[in-house]
This record gives sequence, C-alpha cells and structure tokens, in this order.
Amino acid sequence: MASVVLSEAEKVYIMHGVQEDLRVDGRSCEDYRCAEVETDVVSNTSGSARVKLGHTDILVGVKAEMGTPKLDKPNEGSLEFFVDCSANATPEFEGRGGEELGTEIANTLYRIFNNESSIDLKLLCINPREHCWVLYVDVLLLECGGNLFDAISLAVKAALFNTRIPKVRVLEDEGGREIELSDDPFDCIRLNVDNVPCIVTLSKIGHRHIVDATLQEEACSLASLLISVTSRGALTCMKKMGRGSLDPESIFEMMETGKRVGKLLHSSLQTVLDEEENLGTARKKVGFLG
Amino acid sequence: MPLDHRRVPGPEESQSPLLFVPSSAQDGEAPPAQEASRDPTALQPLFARVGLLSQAKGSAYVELDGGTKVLCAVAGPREAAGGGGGGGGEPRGRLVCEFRRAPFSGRGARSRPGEREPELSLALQEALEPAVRLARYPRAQLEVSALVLQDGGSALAAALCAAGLALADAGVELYDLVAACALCRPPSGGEWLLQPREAEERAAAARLTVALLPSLNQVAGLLGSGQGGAPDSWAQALRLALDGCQRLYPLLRQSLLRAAKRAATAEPSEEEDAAEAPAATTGT
Amino acid sequence: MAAAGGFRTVEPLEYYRRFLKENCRPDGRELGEFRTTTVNVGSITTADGSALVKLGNTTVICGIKAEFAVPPVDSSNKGYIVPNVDLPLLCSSRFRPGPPGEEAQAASQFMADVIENSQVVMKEDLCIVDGKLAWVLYCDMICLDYDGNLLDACMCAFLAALKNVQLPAVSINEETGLAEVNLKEKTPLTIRKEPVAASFILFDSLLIVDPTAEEEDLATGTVTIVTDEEGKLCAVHKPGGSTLTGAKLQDCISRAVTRHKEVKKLLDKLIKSKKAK
Repeated sequence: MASVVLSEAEKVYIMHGVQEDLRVDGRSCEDYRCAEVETDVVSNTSGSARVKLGHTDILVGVKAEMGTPKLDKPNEGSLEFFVDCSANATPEFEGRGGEELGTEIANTLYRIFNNESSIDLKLLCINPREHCWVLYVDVLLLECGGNLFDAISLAVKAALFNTRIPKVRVLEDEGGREIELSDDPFDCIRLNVDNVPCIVTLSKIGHRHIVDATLQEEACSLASLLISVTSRGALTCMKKMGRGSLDPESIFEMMETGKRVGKLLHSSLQTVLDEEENLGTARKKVGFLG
Repeated sequence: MPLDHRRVPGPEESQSPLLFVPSSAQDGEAPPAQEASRDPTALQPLFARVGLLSQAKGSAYVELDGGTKVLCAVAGPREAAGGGGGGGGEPRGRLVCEFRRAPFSGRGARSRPGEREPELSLALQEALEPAVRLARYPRAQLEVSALVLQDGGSALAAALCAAGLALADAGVELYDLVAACALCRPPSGGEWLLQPREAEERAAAARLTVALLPSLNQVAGLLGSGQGGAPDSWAQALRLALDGCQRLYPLLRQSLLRAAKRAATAEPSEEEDAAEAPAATTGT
Repeated sequence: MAAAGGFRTVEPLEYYRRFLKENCRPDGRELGEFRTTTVNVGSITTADGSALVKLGNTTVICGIKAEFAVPPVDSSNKGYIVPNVDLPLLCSSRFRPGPPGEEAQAASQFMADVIENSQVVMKEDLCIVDGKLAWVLYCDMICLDYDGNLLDACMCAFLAALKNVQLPAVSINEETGLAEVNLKEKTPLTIRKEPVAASFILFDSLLIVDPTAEEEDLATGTVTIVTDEEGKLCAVHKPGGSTLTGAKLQDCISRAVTRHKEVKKLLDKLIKSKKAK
C-alpha cells in the first residue's frame, strides 16, 4: 500500500487531535471527505464510473460479455473482478509491485459479492447451462490518497448502476439455438443495485476510530476494521486489517458506527446517481478535464 | 486446464462424480433434523499435537472431530528476502505465511495442486502478526506454512490454532497463543453455530472466523462474509466466538505442556547416545 | 558430546566413515537395515483412497481422487492415472515455495514411469464407456517430513492408497445420456501388480540401504530398484553418480526382493485388519 513516512511528533499530533474529535483537515471522526462521482465516462464499456474521494481517484469500467455458466450454478451469470494498481498512483506500484494489493482488493470484492442478495445474477442468464452474461469489472487505481476500499466500492456500485446490457432473444431453430441481439441500442437490461453493499473502513487511532482515513492517518493506525454495509443497514462482510489487534468492545462500537455511516453513504450516492439519471443526455460530462 | 509442463499431464478437463449423483439420492441423504438437535455453542472435540515434524523448527497438528486435519510448520528466523527491506523504516521482522489445501482435501472436485490461497494466507498473516514480537527479529523473516489435509469445516480456525502452537514450539517470542473459532449461520435465519462441520458450512448463508489472544482479550483476526443481517447479529456471533476461544485456550496450552514434557524426558536418553559417539570416535 | 556435534558439522565425511568402519550408521542401524515403516490407510475421508506412510522420520501422505473425463483420442478405451509428488515448504527447509522444483518433478516422473511400465492398474479397467467416459485417478503424494528416501515412501503410500480406493458404481442414463453415480455401491480397484521400491546409496564403494537426508547429501550415487510380487524387476532408476559393478547390482536386486516381502506382509496385515472392522 502506498505509505508516507511520518515522524513521531506528527503521529502524536494526529492522535491527540483524534481523541478530541478533530482531525488534521478539520473533519470530525465520522465525516467523509468531499467525494465526486461521475458515471458513463468511458464510452466503449457497458458501464463505467469515476470516483474522486479527496486525493483518491478510482476508475471502474464494466464490460458485459457472453460466456458459459459455471457447472454448479447453471442458471446464473457471474461477475469477474480485476484490480489494476497503476504506476501513476505511486512509484511503489511500478512493474509488479501493485499485484499483491490488487489481489487483496479483488478478493475482498469477490467476498462481498459472493452472497445471493447483493446482486441478482439470475437476470444475467440467457440459456441455462449454455449461455449467460459475464460482467467483467475492471478497477483502475489512478491515485492513492488513503481509504481505497471505500472509494472502490462506491465506484463499483455506480458503475453497476450505469451498466446497460443489451437484450438478447433466443430463437429456437431445428439445428440449434440462435441468439439475436436486439437492434435498438437503448433496449437494454439495467441492474438493480439497491442491495449492493458499500465498504466502510474504520481505522483505530488511540482509543477512538475514524472513518475515511487519509494516508497520514492510516500510517498512525495499527488496526482497522473493514465492513460492507447495504443500504438497509445489514452487514455482509467483516474483515480486520493491519498489524495490531482490536479490543472486542471497540469492534462492537465500530460496527454500530459503520452501519450509521454506511446508511448515509448509500443515501447520498443514490441521490447523486438518480440526479445524473434524470438529466439523461442533457448532462454535461466533466470527465478528466474538470 | 492450462498445460503445466512441470507436472505429469492428465486430461484437459475432468468433473467430479458428485455432480452426477441423481437428485433423488441426494434428498434421501440430507438429514434436516441434524440442525435442530445441535447445540449452537458446542465446541467440537479438538486434538492437538505439537512437535511432530523432524525437519521443521516448530510444528503442530490440529484435528477436529468433524474431520478437519491441519498441519502447520514454522521455519526461521531467516534472513529477510529483499535485503534490508527498503533501507530505513522500522527494522522489524517479517512474517510470511502460506495457506494451502491438499488437492484431495475438499469434498468436491480435486483442486489444482499448485493453487495457493492468497486471501487466506493474508488472513493468517494478519491474525498472527499481533501475537509475534517481531521487533525482536529485525531484518529477519519467519515462514509459517499451513497445509489442510482434510477440510471438514472450520479449516481456517484450525489452521490459526495450529500456527500459534507451531510458533510456540519453534521458540519464537509471542505475546500470547492464538485461539481461533469459526461460526456460521444457516440460511433459514436463526442462531449462529460455533465450529460448523463441512455440511453446515457449505449450506451456510454467513460465515465468520475469529482469532483471539485469550489472556490479553484482544481480537487478532476477524474474517466474515455473507448475509448476516444487522450488526447486532454479528455482535452476538462475535461474543459467541470469544467465549469459544477462551474455552479452547486451556486445550492448546495442555498440548504445549505435553510436548515440552516429552522433549524433557527424551533429552536424558539423547545425552547418553551422544556420549557413546565420542567413545566410538576416540576409541579408533 | 559437544565435540561429536562439532566434528559432525566440520568434517561430515570423516564422521560418517568412522561409523561405517564399525559397520553401522549414526542412527544405530546396520548397513542393510531399513527404518521402521508404519502405514495408516483411510484417514482422509474426502479422498477416495488415502494412506500415510512413515519411513523413520520421512512422512508421505497419498490421497487419490477419482473423477470423470473423456478418454484420450488415440486410445479411447483407456482411463488416466495422474501421479503428482509435492514437496511443500513445511517438509524441509531445503525446498522453496513456488512451482515444483527439480526433485518433485523427478519424483513425479519416476512414479509415472513405474505406473506405466508395471501396469499396476490396467487403464482399460478405468474406462466406463468407450470413447465417452472414463475414470481419472489423481494420485497426489505430499511429503510432510523429508528425511531421505522419498521414492520408497511415495511408492509405498501410493500402493497402500490404491488398495484403499473404492470407486462408486456408474451407469449411463438412457434418456439424458448423462452419467449417474450411485455413491452407496462401491467397488475396490483390481490391482494387477504390486511394485515396491528399495533405494540405496553408494558411498566409498559401499552399498547403504534406506538413506536419511544427511546420508543422501554425503552419497556419491543413488540407485532405486522396483520389484513386483513375483520377484520380477519393474524398474531400475540410477540417475548418474558413481559407477556400480554388476555384482553389486545383483546384491541390490536381491535386497529389494526381500524388502518387497517385508512390505507386502505389512500391507496385507493392514488390509486384513481394515476388512475385519
């Protein structure tokens, strides 16, 4: 993970501030940084989104392709995640340096989307046992400014909301089955992302925990708890990260905070996405120049 | 399967015979009554043996009643790979963990022999780091490798217990032993079950593994996923797991004591053997 | 006490030679004596057949899993047997993590050659439907503790696990054309030949049986002889090293035949006691 070198004095300064519920940039312990979300930034994907959370910049592209369903789940499509840590983010990611981090993030995403309630995979089935849609979700880390997991989950949710999968019809012939793509480019399946969870990372600094840590704050925290919360407040994944250990009481507190913060996160994301949807083609695309 | 030139080639694709069992036979087999009669806080009987591999610095074998068999070995401290590790920074030791399953350990298809599990290896590392005094091993690395011979449920929890015991057996400085428990929640809702067996784990809607440093009462590792529901439900599961880990702790300590006693009684006879050898060399 | 340990580290060859002069070895064995062999079958219930063999400290576990596959194009009435020897990090500090190293690959190839040449199990027996469905037996041998003489232990574990394999009955459903497996009816495999390996090392023109890891490091050459139950030769594996006269080779073969009888007695007793349960 990208890291900064902090002196002991700086660490003590951050820790004392956090005890008083005042962080270096003036936020309280449960505040997120200002986030910008934009969808449909890459035109030749089925769906895409870009999230800028402070200095963290993530780009997600979703491509829908046809494939065969897995043997043990013949009526469902599947999601494949791939995370690319670009060397733009930090020089440590040059060459294969970012591979470990990339696999860790990809595995966490698989874990979150592994249960049935997150996303309805039966929609992606075309012919049981023969054809289904496979959604390849590619995450690109453009800049690393702390709190990667939260930003990535927001971007993935926005990209899935934005994904348009073309409708196909199955024609039964005597020779076999043929698949026909519909001619209308706007006739497509949209995914229901109501139950897609978002990740909230709570880092423990001293005796308190904070949400949305910057790189400096991450360097001060020894242990953090990663939870994924759905919009209804249910938790779908819990993971402890970092070198230190956590007190059981703090874990209970962190879970409650995570649920509160997660619900707020979901509602704000949903408002932004709905707004973009309503503007439709009249929306001014900012892209990478803004 | 991509052609691996380093192994003896087999067929390109193969399917497990379990996929072809007709569904009528499967329904007859599944006993739904088993769930109702199981006590959710019951721990499976655990067998732990320390110090059984001759070539490893420290080793431990843990077997659970459900059939889970895990072997763990520790090597090191060795010189850290990658030189001094980026110049300055903290001169701390490193812990390198590997979690592997034997190809025949799963109930279903055979897994590829070379497949590693990076996620579980990372979980193992994150759970063991709080327990080891890495500051005492600067610029060195400790290698912990866990091998699951048979997966009968709660494999990661058993591997964590075995890893803690193996580190203690190797003489690595620890803050405390690691005791770990797994839980799962059946899809019909209801209570969390402690230390599930393989069938319960497979059918579960949510799973959780917790690693605890018992005498310090600190959670060293936590990994869970699934439709657990509200945070209250997860909190209840965590409390159950902490209780289970505290109950496991005396068993783990006893197995370490037994191993130490064995080593102590073996030493006097070793001294006799070694005394004979110089007699042989000096005699000729 | 300390002097012996120091001498052993500084001059291992001389240390070893002192023992050989007295016609014995550092662990107290004679030159022609094998270490205590213990075999345990059927401990891994997820595998179709399994065996754990301890040859002194060397421990090898073999698990066999049977799966379905399409028979090869050029011999449509044959199944597959795929051996694989794994030397993970935990068995010894000399092995590094990653893809299989030379020793593991050589051992896998040796097992594959012996299985092929001695026809332990006829591949035709593994075929279910000609050209469409056949059994694949994946035999994975994992070494848990490496203290020399890997090949003997692997061979013994493989044989014991094969004897323990129970294959479920398969029938082809007429309507769907798919296979149907009945897990309640199980039959063991027909084993035609029972190969047993005996390894020797060459040191100073002496032949020493069942080397430990230390002895293997000091050896100038190795030989492995595989014999079957009729006293016939299945395989001779001599990968380079110092030379061997014809007479010595004969010695090896006769010792290997005696070893075969010992191992066969052990395995038969084990199978009988398992059946009696």
